[in-house]
Amino acid sequence: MLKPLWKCTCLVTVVTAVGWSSAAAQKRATMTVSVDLAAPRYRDRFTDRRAIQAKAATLFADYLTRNVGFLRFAADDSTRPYRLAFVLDRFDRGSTSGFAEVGFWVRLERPDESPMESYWLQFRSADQSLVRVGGEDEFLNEIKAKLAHRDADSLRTGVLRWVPISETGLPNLDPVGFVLPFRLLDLCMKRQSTVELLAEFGGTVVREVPFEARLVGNFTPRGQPTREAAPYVGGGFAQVLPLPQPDDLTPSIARHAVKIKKIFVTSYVHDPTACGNRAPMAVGGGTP
Amino acid sequence: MTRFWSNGSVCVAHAIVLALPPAASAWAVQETVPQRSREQVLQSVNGALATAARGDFSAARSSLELLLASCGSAAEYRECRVLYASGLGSLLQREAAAEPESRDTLYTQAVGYYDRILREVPNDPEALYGKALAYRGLGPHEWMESFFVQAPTLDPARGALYLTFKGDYFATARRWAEAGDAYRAAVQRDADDDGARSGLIDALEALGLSSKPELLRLAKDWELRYSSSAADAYRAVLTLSFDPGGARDSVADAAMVGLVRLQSRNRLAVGAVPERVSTTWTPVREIRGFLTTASTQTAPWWRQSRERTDVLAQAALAGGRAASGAPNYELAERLWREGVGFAPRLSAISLDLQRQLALLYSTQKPLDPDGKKFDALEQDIFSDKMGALAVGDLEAAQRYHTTLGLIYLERGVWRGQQSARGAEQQFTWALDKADERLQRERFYQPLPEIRMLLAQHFDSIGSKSLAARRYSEAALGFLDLDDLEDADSAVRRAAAVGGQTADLARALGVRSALARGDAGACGAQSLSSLIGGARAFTLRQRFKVLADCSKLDAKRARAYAAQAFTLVDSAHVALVGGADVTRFERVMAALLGPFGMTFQPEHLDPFASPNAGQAILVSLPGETVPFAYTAQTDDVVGARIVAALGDVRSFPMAVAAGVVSIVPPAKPSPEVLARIQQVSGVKAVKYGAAGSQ
Repeated sequence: MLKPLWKCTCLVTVVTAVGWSSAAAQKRATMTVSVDLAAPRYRDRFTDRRAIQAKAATLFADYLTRNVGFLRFAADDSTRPYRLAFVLDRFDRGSTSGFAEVGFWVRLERPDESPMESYWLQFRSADQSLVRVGGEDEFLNEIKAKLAHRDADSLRTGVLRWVPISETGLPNLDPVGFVLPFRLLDLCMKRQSTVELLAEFGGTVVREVPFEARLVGNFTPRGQPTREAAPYVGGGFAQVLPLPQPDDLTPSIARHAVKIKKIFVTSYVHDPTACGNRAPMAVGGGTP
Repeated sequence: MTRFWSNGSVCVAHAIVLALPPAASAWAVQETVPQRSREQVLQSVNGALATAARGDFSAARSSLELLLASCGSAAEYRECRVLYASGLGSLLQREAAAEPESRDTLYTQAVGYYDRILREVPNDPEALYGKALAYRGLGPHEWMESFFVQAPTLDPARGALYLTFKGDYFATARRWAEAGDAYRAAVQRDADDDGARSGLIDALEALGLSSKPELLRLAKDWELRYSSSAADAYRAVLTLSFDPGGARDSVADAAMVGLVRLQSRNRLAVGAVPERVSTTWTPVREIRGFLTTASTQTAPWWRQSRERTDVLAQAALAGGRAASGAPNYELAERLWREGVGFAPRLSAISLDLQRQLALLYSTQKPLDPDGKKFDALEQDIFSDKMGALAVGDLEAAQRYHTTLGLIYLERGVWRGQQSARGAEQQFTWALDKADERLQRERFYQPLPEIRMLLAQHFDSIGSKSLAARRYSEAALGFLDLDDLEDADSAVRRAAAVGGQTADLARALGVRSALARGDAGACGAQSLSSLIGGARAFTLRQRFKVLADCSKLDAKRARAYAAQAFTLVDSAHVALVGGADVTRFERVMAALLGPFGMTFQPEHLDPFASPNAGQAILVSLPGETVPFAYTAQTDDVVGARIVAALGDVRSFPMAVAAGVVSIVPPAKPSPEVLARIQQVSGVKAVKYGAAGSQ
């Protein structure tokens, strides 16, 4: 029987999905994805390097869209404050050997912070370094082949955990936690994922404090939601576990003195079915 | 699956005045007559969706509602109603995503339109899917259960997806046993369904300790093809093992070994475990200790069996790589040396470790200033003898020889005091291994760069016949990889040292003409000139030529595409390089498009999909293993049908789960229907509005 799921008796009931949903109309944050062919052999191969970098960026953006549901990705959109650059370069940048492994480094560029970079995807091992670069089709198909089975975990938890998915959230008193302005379905996120919330505490001295919280379901209030809560109905609910000691979070929430500044996904349990089935089919056949 | 439109009789026009500003919506003409042809309806629907995308949901919806009403109720305008209703369902779902305050109402209204379609066309795939998404958007309610339970049988072509939806429904209700059954059935039907595998792991983990053996079995089954799911399953076993009442038993041990193996292979953080797993647990503590000390003395648990020792060696390889990237070359060296010490001799992992060490000594001179370590490494492997490599892992051996060849090449040593200690011999062995892999594994590698280097070397020392042979081989390889310029250079050089190059020159001539866009090269004479040389090479070149001709010669595009497809489908011609993949996809689109089918490009995998009707082998430059291209089985069947039909005039049809559907007004002759029926993979042919067989 499903009825216990949405028959709530407490102030706030956390359910795994909502009967009447209404998470805030906020769109997931978008970051730009770019590709840079830094290794000279690849950089010099293509006469229209920008065009091929743009096409490659689209492949990476598609890959990220399939595998990371908590952000949106746009290829080469310079208007976004956060940028994820995939740089094709030597694995060992200090080496001057004539034959060296090349692969994609991933570099996260963010406002007011220094970029962070790590090696992510081998493209050609050292013993394959002689092999020709090939034309555009070959190069792009090689990238596709590399991406087809590349695990995105290290990107999600190693790099993208530094990109805020939202700058708003609703503090909740019982249980102590925060409501995300997105449904879990929209984030392709399963329960047990964890987020870090940077919260501002009011009072005589304003402090910014990070909290770890675990997604335990979607949020639905008992009865009519307050005006403040209404936009968050159906949003993912993250319960603060464990509560910091001494606990000044609970009284601060009770005083309405807590404001969410940023939300980061620190551990992402991916829901591939949600990401793969976001929109209805194109009318009359074909893919949406 | 494609739906067909019956373009019927003249209809009574009634004007509908739309309240849209013309500039905002060009599709919505101020006065519309009923839009009843399929093309007109789709144009209107897509126009409305474009309007909605600009934020004007209300106008888009009003228009579609009016147009839907204009279809009337006559039977022949059923599809008019279906398409407009489907458009409305789609529109409402988009609006629900944009306007969460009204989300439930909008999803419910969308369901209403899908239900309307399903009353007219029971089991309509688009409507079923749309309704399922709307239900998922609404969240679970008991009254949805019958839909989710029945859906897998209503659209068998998407049965696995609906089983996954069913699993999700039960999982949300925490009815884990039923969820597990649904996901299990989904995985059995479509092992490629990521969501089904993920759901099954969740369900089994939720079911508790009794699921550990099944999770372990699944993880092992999935290791090669679905490594991410396998890692999740191993993690689930470990988490359960540390639950209250859980035990660190043999299943937990096996999961830990499997997880470290996957982490090592896939360059993930080795030794990372779920948070519930104690870091003082012996296997965890030891693997982490080993990766920081490079001493097997800190890892006796990992030396207790051959399997664990193999995994420890893989961890040494991965750990060394991570260390060299840090960069901490000293730790990398220690890990690789230690790994060589305990890995089984001449195993793939041992060769890989030695290859990395050789590279490290070659590039990091401070680690080996006098070259003695490199020499010792060489001596070590050669003392066991090269012959032994032949019976070992061919991929590892080929890569090892290639690496040593490159090291000697960089040092300018083509021939050493011992033949093995020079680029000539190492590259020759590498090519021998590649030939052996072709014989044993059907994995063709062109490798023109190495062949060219050898050819130039032989040329420089006056070994003309050896040079001619290698130049010719290089030319073949360059042709296979569509590098016509280098192929031309190799052919000329081969000729200059006395090589027989007539066949190569002919092939090069045809390919060059096509590359210039000369459709005249598509003639029968050109094609017949592609003979001589190895049969496999000839077939590969024919595929390229036919595929290119299908692009250049529009009048005969279908015929060329059919021949190119048949070479891959029946003669099992391997695709070489990414350009061939693009050719194949173009060929498929050229075949399916005129028959109203849309080709769904798939991806390349290092392992063939269990769903693939037949794996298409692909050799990609820079990859040391063969890849498989997985085309949708229905697409392949569709292409076979088109190829079998020859020059029969095209008509719309659809293939779903091997069932071919043809709807009037298409009127294929009985003979054509019989030909379709005989095509491999066709399970049934349905013809007519009622789908008579």
